[in-house]
Amino acid sequence: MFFLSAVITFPLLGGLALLFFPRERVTALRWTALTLALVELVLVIVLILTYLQHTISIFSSSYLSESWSWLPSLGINYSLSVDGISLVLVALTALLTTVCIAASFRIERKIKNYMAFMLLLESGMLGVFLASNLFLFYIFWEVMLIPAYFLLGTWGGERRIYAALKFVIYTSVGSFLMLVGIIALGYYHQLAAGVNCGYTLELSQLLNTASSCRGVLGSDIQTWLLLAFAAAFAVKVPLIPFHSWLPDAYSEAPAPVTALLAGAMSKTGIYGFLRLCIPLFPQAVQTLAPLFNTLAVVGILYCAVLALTQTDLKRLLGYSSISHLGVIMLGLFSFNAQGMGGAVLQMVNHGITTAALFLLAGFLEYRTNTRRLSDYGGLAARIPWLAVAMGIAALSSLGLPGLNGFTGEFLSLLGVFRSNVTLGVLGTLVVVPAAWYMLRFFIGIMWGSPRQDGVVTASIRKGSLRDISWKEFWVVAPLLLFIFYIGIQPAFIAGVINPSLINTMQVLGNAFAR
Amino acid sequence: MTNLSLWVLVLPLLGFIILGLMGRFMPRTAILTIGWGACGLAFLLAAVNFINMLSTSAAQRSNDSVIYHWISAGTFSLDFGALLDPLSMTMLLVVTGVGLLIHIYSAGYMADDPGLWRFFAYLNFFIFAMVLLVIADTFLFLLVGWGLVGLASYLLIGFWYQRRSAVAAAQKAFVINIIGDLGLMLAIFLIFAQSGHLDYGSVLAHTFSGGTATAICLLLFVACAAKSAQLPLYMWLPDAMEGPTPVSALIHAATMVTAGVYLVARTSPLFEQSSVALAVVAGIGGVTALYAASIALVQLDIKRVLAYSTISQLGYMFMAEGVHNYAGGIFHLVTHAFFKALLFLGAGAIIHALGGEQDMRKMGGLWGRLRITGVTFLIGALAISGIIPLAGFWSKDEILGSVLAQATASGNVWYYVLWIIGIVTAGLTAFYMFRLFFGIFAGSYRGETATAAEHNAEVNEAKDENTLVTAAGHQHTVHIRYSAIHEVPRVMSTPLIILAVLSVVGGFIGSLALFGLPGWSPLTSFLPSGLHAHAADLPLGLAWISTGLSLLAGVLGIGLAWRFYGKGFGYKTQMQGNPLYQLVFHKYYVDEALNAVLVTPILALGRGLTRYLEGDVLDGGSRGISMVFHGSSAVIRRVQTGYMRNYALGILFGVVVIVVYYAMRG
Repeated sequence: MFFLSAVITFPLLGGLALLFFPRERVTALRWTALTLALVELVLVIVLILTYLQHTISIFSSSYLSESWSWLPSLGINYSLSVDGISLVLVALTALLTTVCIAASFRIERKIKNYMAFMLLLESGMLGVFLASNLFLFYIFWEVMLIPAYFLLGTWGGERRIYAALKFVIYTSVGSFLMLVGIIALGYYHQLAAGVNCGYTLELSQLLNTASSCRGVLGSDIQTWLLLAFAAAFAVKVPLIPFHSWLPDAYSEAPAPVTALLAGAMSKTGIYGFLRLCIPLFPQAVQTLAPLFNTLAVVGILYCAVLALTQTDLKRLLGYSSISHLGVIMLGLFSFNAQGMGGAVLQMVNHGITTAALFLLAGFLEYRTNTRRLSDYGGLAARIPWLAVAMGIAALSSLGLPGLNGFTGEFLSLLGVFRSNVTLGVLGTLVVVPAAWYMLRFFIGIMWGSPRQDGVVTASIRKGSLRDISWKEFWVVAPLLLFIFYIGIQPAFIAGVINPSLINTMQVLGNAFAR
Repeated sequence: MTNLSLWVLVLPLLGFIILGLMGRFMPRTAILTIGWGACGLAFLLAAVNFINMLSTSAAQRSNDSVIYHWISAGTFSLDFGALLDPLSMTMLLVVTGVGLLIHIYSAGYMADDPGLWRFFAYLNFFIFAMVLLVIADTFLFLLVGWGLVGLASYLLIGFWYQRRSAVAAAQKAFVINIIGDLGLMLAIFLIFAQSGHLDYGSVLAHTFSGGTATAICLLLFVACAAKSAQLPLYMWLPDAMEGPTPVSALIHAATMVTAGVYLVARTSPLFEQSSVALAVVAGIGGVTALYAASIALVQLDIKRVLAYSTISQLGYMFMAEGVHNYAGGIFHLVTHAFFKALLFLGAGAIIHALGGEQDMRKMGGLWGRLRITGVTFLIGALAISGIIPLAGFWSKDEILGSVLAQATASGNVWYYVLWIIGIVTAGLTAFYMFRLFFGIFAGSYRGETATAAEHNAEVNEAKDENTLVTAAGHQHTVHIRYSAIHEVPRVMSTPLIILAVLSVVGGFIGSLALFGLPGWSPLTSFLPSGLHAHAADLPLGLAWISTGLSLLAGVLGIGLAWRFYGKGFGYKTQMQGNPLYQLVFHKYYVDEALNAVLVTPILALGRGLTRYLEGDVLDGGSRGISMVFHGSSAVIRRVQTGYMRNYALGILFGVVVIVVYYAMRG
């Protein structure tokens, strides 16, 4: 079967095809790119329906997996598979890419390359979520970096070069360490399993506990390998103190790119922890869990305090994003059903909410040409529907019960509390500053007395400060819909995630099913 | 028994959705039809269900129906269900009933506001959220309702969102309420970790170990203190008076702020497991009652007096619950809903008639102009002062009686102190209420004689804050001549009259044991027996002492108020020099202290971290590392000269080193 390959390569091929378009047919280029993303979304929906019919796990022989020999002597195969966890993330990626491409119609410069890079980025992320060979995973991991670098460096704001370089250097140091880790993992696995077993980087073989070729790694080796892998993932999430690239990158990139990076790409880091680190190095993960938990909990509170005082809209959202990702990390390292289930659910929620916030901030910036919070004030009367949309996204982000952000964070923190009360309490504390800075964000723009001078007033005088347009509305509408849907009825998505999670986590061997 | 509570929940939600999406384009009548209709039908259904409940036997008066499956993860599995039992029924009737009266009143009060549709949408949303809070059958959906009423409160406090003070008040209310939500969340985590359940049925039947029970109850009480404005989380409620007055009446007096009282009653089996937590509830309630009443003594804004009075009365309710008399707390909740809604709506009528004036110093003599408002306000004031036979007398008496009963039963001196606090507060309540009443209605009108300087100061202030205000409302105080003051329209006075009647007769749903009818206590026998069974009994003689003293305190308070303010409210300028007066007038400087101790340092920390740790250390660090590479590559680059002779020299040098090395090793 080629279906997973088709899902991954379709955006890539579509993007390449775009390059043959005549440059001046701007409108056609935009609509073609959007059509490609929509077709890809349909493919993903077909994938979801197929998956639901054949509920299967990543490790069992499955209808929805494929494997082609590539460099067998080096353990490198082209193999893909899908389970509930990767499925929801694939769906998130396809949805956000579509939305972000639709939000990019305002990009004027080099639109052809821009759209091609967006589609390439989508392929890279989908590959990461679907790869089941470590080397293939690494290739897709690097494939993500290239379009992200160009999108940031070419279409970004004034300090885009600095931001792009910083982003690339941080990420590539991490991924280099991961490459070393991958090669070493294969070596140590072979060493432990016996010479006859061959060198493999195939995830299913590395994890197959029933196989005679099972190599159990010593705990020292596990620890070093875990650290190597974690270097790549911690930068991507990011965990503090590896986050310094993020405020620059998020604030300099054009809004749809930021939305895609924050919404979807940050999930690849967490996915790496969940799909690779935890099952491959179960002992080391439990030994080092206090380290990751500490980084996560410090990051949660530290970034929340930072978000309180940011003066730049996108930087505020950026720090808020790191803070909320910390809750997901805590949930992941609680090693129980609520914590980890909530973490995966919250990956989806965070993606939707963060993307919505960045896109809406982008709509606003487009109208006023400023990101400074102090330039705004009292706009709700001028742009009431944009205010409503932004209010919903902000409430979702601060975790208002009844909206999507609450379901994921509640479950995660419940799991964290059960495994470690101190961490649970510290992690939950964040709801107070989170409400404070999100209200400061919303009130600072929409409420209060309107300013008498400044750029925003100038754009009001020019008449460029209009309420949300229909096009913009259709861009964010799906995201707002999911904000309500997952908040009110999370059982469906949780039902897709949980069986796969239990499969994956049996490796941990403790009372996961609690 | 049928359970119509889902419909009671859905109707206001539908009203909110319709008004929210289309209200902007609707004519006034359509807005009112939907807004009133949604709340009215909800009340009607609740009433029908109530009658149905009365006709079933007491054992079958609880109905818990599952609506849908919410989520499951491992052993955590949760359904959304609607629980209707006598306790939630009582709350439903208060919420939708008082809510309906306030919906009606608002049509008059907000008539000139261009945001009328928004106002009714928010009101309907509030009713939805409050009904959800009341009928939830799990702690999780209680939390959902808890959070959503907080949102409704935020939206309505900030209804005039271009006024700086309203926005600040809304933000403060939301953030302080989030502290309460935090307490509730942690309580839920602890409950689930210890019992493995979150539905009321299983959790309330579960026996927790002593320390755990105390921890759970105290965390729950953090949520109650935030929502019901008890010490030390009360600061948001006085500021919440920035919202339109009907909102103050509905949310910040009659219903939402009583959610904490409801929660303690709902979880009474847990509180029964922890005497420490109950003592905290009673103590905080008592201290808050006295503390807030003392601030109310000197406030000049009529809504602020009522706000502090609300905090104080909520303290009474917690006092009752702290001495096991949960039914007494609910009783006072009901009567308080009547007379406090009445007082707030009356205050709204006065503010409306005076064109937005809220300062007592510029009122006076209104008895002659506002007769309906005056009479109903007097009834409300008498009721809250605990004058027999009005509603407040019965419920306050019940509370003070059960505190004294607890004191005699336990012999603990602190309960006697609590009882004395209750009596003293009753006296203070009567005093500040009649100070308010005389200030508004007695003497002669002072609005016209406001000095020119004062007037100018206010105009300048208005210029600063509201110059570009587009949403209308009562922002601008218009000075109105005495002869131009008119009684409010029927749509506003009718709810006042209904509430006044309820404030007179509402007390008779309580016990009449004192007057020789020991079998008569409709509310207590309607509520589940667990809500009063644990309370100590009081001998009739002591009950008379308690009643007599509280009545005496009330009469004394009214008398003193008459003595000082009966001929009109004179603002005593010489008191401004008194430090004690200043302390109380500035509400004990709690807001200032909070800003200095908490808010400012956190913001300074954030700014400092952004500048130094994020900027200099992390960003600077990565720049530094790149500088090292940049510099070293600049040095190393020099080696690559491109001249063959340099490379040959290098090779020669290398060979020499290797040869020497091996030669030395031997």
